[in-house]
Amino acid sequence: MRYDYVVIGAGVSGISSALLLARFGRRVAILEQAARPAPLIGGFERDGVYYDGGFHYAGGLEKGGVLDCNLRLLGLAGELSRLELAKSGYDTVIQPESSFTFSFPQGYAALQTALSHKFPAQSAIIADYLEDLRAATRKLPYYHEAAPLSSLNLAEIHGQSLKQVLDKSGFAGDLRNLLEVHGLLYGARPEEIPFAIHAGVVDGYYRSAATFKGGGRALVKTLVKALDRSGVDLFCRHQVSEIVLSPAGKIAGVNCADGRCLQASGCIATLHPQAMLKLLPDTVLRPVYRRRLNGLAETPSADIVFMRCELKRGSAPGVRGELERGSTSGLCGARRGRGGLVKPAGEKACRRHKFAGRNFFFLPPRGEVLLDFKLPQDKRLLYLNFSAANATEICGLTAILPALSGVDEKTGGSDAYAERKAYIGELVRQRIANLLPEIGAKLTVAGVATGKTLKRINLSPKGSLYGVKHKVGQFNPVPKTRLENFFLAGQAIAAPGVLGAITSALMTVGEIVGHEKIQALRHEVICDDE
Amino acid sequence: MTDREIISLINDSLIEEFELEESAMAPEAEIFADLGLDSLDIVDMVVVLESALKIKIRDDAGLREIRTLGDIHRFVIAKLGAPAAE
Repeated sequence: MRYDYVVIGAGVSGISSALLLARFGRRVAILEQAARPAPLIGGFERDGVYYDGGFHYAGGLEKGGVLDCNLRLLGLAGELSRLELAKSGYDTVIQPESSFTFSFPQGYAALQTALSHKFPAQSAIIADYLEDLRAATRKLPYYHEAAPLSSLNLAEIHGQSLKQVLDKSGFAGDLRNLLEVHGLLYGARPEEIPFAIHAGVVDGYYRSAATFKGGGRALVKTLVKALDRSGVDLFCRHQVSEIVLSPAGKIAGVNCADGRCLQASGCIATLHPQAMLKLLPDTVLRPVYRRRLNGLAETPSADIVFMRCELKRGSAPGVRGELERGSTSGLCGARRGRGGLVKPAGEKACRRHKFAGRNFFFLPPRGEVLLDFKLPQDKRLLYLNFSAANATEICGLTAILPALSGVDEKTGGSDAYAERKAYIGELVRQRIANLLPEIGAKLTVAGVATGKTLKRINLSPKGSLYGVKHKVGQFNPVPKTRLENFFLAGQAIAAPGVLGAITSALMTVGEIVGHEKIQALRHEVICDDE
Repeated sequence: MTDREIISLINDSLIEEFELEESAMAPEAEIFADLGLDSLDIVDMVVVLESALKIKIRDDAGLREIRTLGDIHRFVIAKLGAPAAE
């Protein structure tokens, strides 16, 4: 069997690339090193409880939203159920020392109102800033329909950082933290991240934050079903060891580590750019390009603690009643118990825990740098994902404690490593138990992933959360390479997250079949909806 | 740095990084037709020039007008001569 394209890596960018190529009539195979596709966002199950791995929540999933459109473009219309997170607070930011609390409500208008209410003196700059944010997304290719598709955009690469934008308006203190905290979603500090990329990541969430019913696992299942329908061949446990070139220097196929080979006249590599370089002879790509890719900065790593949370049915107030009051101060424990007075809003809401559909960011003490991952673990920014927990009695929670990348390389033998994992698990469990006493006693640690785990699953050389960073002044690779019919896709190309991965697939397949065709298809999908 | 030093620094960096022949480095040499670079090399060229000369190239339009090695020299000299942005 000879394929038009072989895609290396069955993550979201690889599967999306394959689906789009198939849609344009190409014969495609995907090779995945792991035993199953998209092992990161597919999460895992332990003792009957599902835990989300790399997918926690998404923005732009509302009808006509950017992710909704892109998923429909992939042919997934109507196959996934969207679960909107808590209306009046999908992300709750808590600073324990000062008891500062803020919840991000759904939608720009509500966000602007909530921020202005909390920071009345700043209401004018808040309104301007949110408008600037929306305007910035209009320049992003495949984000906004009218955005230009130039692959070389120096203005953006060397454009303003988030810090410059926030400085200019004079944002400071707690308000500034709120506008910077979502940096965790892309793993770069405010002075590093180009404002346009920041806008492209947070805009979707500011519009509407949701998850899929069934979490990341449901998304993967749907993507794999679509591959099947499209006639794409998916081969798991196939680790590509080299890209084979013909004597004329053209792509001829790939060889796998176990000796199997696959013939193809084109290739899309979705793995980490530095891992990609190892698959080609040194002479194919210019030394200067190889050096650039090898020099790309990495995003931070993290320790990820998976916790089983046993909630008793009916022990918590209905989520709607609690949220409708717009109160979040009870989360620190000050108003514990009052929630019971709230009338549940129907059976479903009654069964949902009041924290369901909410995520928490616990900030470092005031005066510390928000995204400083050298801070002691008990003071460092900590994220708790409760978004998938629409479950009834038992649910799986994910807590992320970011860390410097490459730290695990220093850990000793397997005993020392197991000890470190147990230590981190307990530290994070205790921190959350102290911060959210209402669930404290109900948490048990079910598993801990470290930089080492991320290194294995993401194939990122330093165990980073998102692979290569997006950074002002850094030139990340574009889809096209000097080698004919050899393209790159993945978060390094566009942006992190499910949206970034799909966007990279659109950019890459656009290079192959013509951007105007992808744009036309996207337009059709958007119009179908209206 | 004199213009001459700048030109020689640019040429040396490009020769090394893009494995070019010294004899080909005439100011009138077209970067695509004569030096064998392609549009994908432009980003790497920018990176090389930025690091060799400690400058930041933000001028998209100016960059697109570059056709010859001499254009690169003029572009960089103008950049170095202009007051630094910010």
